[in-house]
Formats: sequence, structure tokens, C-alpha cells
Amino acid sequence: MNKLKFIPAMFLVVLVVGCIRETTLTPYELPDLVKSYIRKVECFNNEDAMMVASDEGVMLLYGEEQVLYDANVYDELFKVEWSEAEVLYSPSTEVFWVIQDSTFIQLGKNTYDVHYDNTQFFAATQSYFAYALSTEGKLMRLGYWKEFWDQNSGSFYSDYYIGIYEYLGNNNNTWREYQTELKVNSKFLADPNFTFADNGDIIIHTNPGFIISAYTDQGATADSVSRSGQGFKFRTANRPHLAAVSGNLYGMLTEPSLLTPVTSMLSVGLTQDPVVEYVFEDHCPFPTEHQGAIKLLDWNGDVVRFYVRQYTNSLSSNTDVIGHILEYDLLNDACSITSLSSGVLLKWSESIVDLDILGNTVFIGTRDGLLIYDLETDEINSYLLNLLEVKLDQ
Amino acid sequence: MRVALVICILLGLSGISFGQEEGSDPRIYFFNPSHLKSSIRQEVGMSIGTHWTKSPMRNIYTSVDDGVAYPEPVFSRAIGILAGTYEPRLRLIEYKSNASISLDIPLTLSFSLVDVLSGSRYKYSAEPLTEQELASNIFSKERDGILGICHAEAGALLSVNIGQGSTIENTKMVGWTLSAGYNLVRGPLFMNFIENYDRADYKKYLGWGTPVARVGIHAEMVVVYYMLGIAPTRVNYQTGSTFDVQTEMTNTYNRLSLSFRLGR
Repeated sequence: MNKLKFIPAMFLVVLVVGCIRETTLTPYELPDLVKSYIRKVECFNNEDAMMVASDEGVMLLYGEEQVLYDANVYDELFKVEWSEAEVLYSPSTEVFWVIQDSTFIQLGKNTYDVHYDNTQFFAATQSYFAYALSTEGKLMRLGYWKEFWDQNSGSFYSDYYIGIYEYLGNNNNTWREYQTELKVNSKFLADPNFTFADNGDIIIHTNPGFIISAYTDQGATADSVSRSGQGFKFRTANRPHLAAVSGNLYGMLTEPSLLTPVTSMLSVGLTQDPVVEYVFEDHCPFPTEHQGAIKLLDWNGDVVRFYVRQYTNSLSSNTDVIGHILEYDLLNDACSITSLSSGVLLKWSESIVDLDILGNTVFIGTRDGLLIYDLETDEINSYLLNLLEVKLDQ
Repeated sequence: MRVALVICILLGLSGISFGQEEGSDPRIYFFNPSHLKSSIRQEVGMSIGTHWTKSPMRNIYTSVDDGVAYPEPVFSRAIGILAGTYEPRLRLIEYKSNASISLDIPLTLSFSLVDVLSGSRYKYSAEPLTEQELASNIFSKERDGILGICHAEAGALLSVNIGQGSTIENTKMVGWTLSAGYNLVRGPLFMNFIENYDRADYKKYLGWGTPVARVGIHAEMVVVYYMLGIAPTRVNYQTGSTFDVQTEMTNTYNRLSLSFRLGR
């Protein structure tokens, strides 16, 4: 029985000391800049990253991690015209690029860099260019560096030669230029929209198209791909996207915006022809009051999602729809539209300044702040209030 | 799992073997519903000012200082002033007349002060924030009064009993009980009617459960129990006023009580 005397004490010590769990609540910078007028919301679904620009600054989200740039400290952010800015994101460097006119801003966890481009480009084609990030996160610009008209050809048309530009961003040079002999005829002159394949090849969606496998100061190694379709009017496709599995190359006839909503998608095999147009109206059950697809939200393979703006719901009491998410599976030619319902915090579609989607959550920028819309529950909440709520299931 | 392991260790130390079967060793008896009188022991107990418990972290109270949000744990707390317990104890396995394993079901009603607090002892309000309050830099709300009074508990403990009280035949003066199990807490039973708090607003704060262990010393018909929460969580947090790391133990249970055996 002697050994039994120690049992109660051992029992309590083992149970109490051995079972204490520990958790730490860490202070965090409150992103109260999302309470102000939201100017831009850009989500990168596949990378779980997001950028929100407001009148007070910029918030970056990497999963749960947030990085804030207060415009009162980083005053260059005040000068950005966000409605015209293009935002790119590189998962390899975790840096967001904000490009607006000749201003280039890099924003990252420990990166803040502003550069103003004073480069004088070839005058005849200086308005024809496009940007994309390489697989390593390097900003690339494609443009034209030379125009050549053969006076002996008897033609009115000339050839424009594609130039590849790597971003340097130093005081002396914004770009490093690589001149190529790849050319586009002036009758097909357009922005040389391009994207990168997973192996690093540059896919240029012009007519003809090009697949550049290497480039040096001496030129580029490339395959030319015939592009026709659209009654041979095809020049280029905006925002080209290469679906890795199917190998299809997609794009749009115009850059989507409120004034020029997108009505179709273009599709072509990377090395095939012709370019096929998928018209939304033919396959998508559009509601009656809409202003078209005004923003490309994301790609998942061959499935694209767009924000379709609701015309208005402020004048009629018989609709509580504030917008729609169009989802088009281009491989299977299947389209669906999910309507977003209004709530106490967001009653009118006109209140939406910008939105984007991350998984099943729609982030909605309004004049009064950032809201989140849960597509599973159709509930709208304030982003800030949601942030303040406990996440005990973590 | 951990509790089961402890029970097994205790069984081993107390000399009871699972290797023996009922037919081959008549010294082991199993619970038999037809002999309830000898298989159930009943106790009534009480505690005065020696009974308090805190729930696991239920929410976060956020104070904001100079643009930085400082989250603090929010938990329910019950401080028992006077508590009474009725506890039936079902002897599942008896070893000779010396020891037993029992299922104990302590049922407690307590006059207590029940509140929902933050680490800095703000009386947390479950009333939702509005956008207007948010715009005015109000990030958490507080109550003025205590949430309510009185709480109830129900537990299920597996106990190893040795000596006095372990079996109906045992005539020793002293005995031990070592228990482990789960205890449910519900409270407050009565919301603060002066402040008119709505029970529905505090639904998720009104009940919780926690694993517990208990040690009891039997002397004749009197038992002194100490019951303790065995899965507490230490929450570290900072406040904007001091910047020091504060610590709050949540999911705790403490109770020292005195019980009296009814019958044998």
C-alpha cells in the first residue's frame, strides 16, 4: 500500500502540468485604411494573394498575413489613378506591380519601390505595348522598335518589329531592350499582348503569333504561328491566358471595362488555327438588367470568371441583386451566372467601385469601405468587422 | 486517450488485473442492475467559496491603440459562492472488498456570479458592432453589469476507488478516489434582469465543457474532494497600455468540496 500514497499527488501533477496548452494572441496593425473609399480590389486566386487600394493607402494580403502601406507615409500612392492602373502579381517574388501610365510601383512584404519611366519609345508605335511578369517575377514589356516599309513592294503596308524589354528600373535606364526580327504587318498592328508558359516561353498573341523560347542581344529564337479567324480580322487578344492542361490560348477582343464590357472570349490552340470566338449571349443565362462583363476575375484552367455589373437596383424595389459572377467553362462550352444579393451594408449595385474574388469570397470595394460577400451563405459583412471577430477554429 | 491511459496506470498500481475473468476468479464483480443497492453509492456535497471555473476562449476583445489592434481572450467565468451537489456513483467493477471502478455523475447547482470577461476584465458585450461605431473607432463593446447569477453542472467521471467507500463491504476508515472525466457547465441560469441582457445574444457563452480530474479522501462517511480542470489553455496576449505580455488561463476548473455518504 505504500506506493499508493504517492498516486494522488502524481496523478494531479501529471495531468495538470502535462495538459496545459498554450496559445498566443498577437497584436496586429489595424487595416483601417479599408474603411475609406476603396479604389481597387485585385485578387490572385491561385496564389491566395490580394491587393486593396483605398484613399488612405494600400493593403496587401498573403493568405492571413497583411502588409499595409499608409498613403500618408508613402505619398506616391496618393498620385496613382487607380481606375487606370494595371496590377500584376508574381508568386515567385511575392511582389505586386502597379503600373499606371509611366509610373511603376512595386509593393511587397519588404518591398516598396517607385519608378517613373522617362524612356522615349519609337514614336510611331509608342502606344502599342503590353506588360506581363515572367515566371521568375521579372516585369517584361513588349513593344515595337522599328517600322520598315519596302518601297519596292508596291504595298501600302509596312512591317513592325517586336522588341522585348526587361525592367531595370534604375535611374539611367528603365528598360533593357532586346531587338528581334519578329514582325507584325501594319494591317494587324496591335498591342503585342503576351503571356508566359510554365517553361518560360513567351507566348505573343499577335497575328501571326510567336512562341519565343530564347532571346539575346542578337535576336530571338521563336516559332511563328499562323493566326486567323474572325473573318481574318484577328489582330490580338487582350489578357492572353494559356491553360496548362488543354494547351488552349484564350483572350478577349477588348479590355473589359464599364464602357466596353466583354461579350465573348477568343480561344485557339497554342500552335493551331483558327481563333474561335465564344459569345457569352449564346450560352450564358444573362439576367435582364445588366451592363455586361466588365472585369475578368480569375482563371482556373479553362474556366474563366467575370464580374457582370447589374444595371441598377436603386430605382426598383422588386430586385435585390447587386451584381453577378459569370463562370464560363470554355473547354466544355458551359456557362453559369451567380447573382449577388443585396444586404444591409450594400443595397445598390452603384455602390460597388470594384470587386474581385478569392475562392468563395467576393471582396467588394465601395465608397464606404471594403466588404466581403460569402458565396456560400450570400451574406455581406464588413471586412474590418470580420477581421475583429475571433477565428477559434484556426 | 490521456485520461484512459491514466486510469489504466492507476488500475495497474492498485493491483487489479484485467487478465482475470469473472468465471475463473470470483473476487471480481461486475455491475449488476438487479443489485442496485450494493452497486450504487450516493453522496451529497457542498462547497462555500471554493468553486470557480472559466470556459475556453470564446471570442476576442480588441482594443486599438495608435493604429494597432490588441486582441484579448474573452471567456465565461463562474465564481461559486454556495454550491450543492448530488452524486450517484455506479460501481462498475469491484475487486474483492478493497477497490472498485465506478462511474460517478456529480450534479451541481451553484449560487454563483457568472460573467463574460476579457483578459483585462472588461465585461464583454456580445452586442454586434455597427458600421457607424466602426467608423468612430469603436472596436469592442462593454457591459455595465454582471451577466447573471447561478449555474449548473453535470459531470461523468470514471473513478478508481480504494479502501473506504470502494465497495459496500469495505470497513476501512480511510479511502481514496481518483477520477477523470468530463464536466459540463451551464450558466448563468438567471440573466441580469436589471440590465435586461438577452439570453439569445449570449448563446455561445452560456455553456461549455471541460475535462476534469478529481481526487477524494474518504474518512468514514465524509469525503473531501478536489476537482481540477485538466485541459487548461494559457493564452498570452498584449495590451496597448503596457505592451507587456499578459497571461490568462482559460478552460479551468477548481472546486474543493465536502461530501457525505448516503447509506453505504
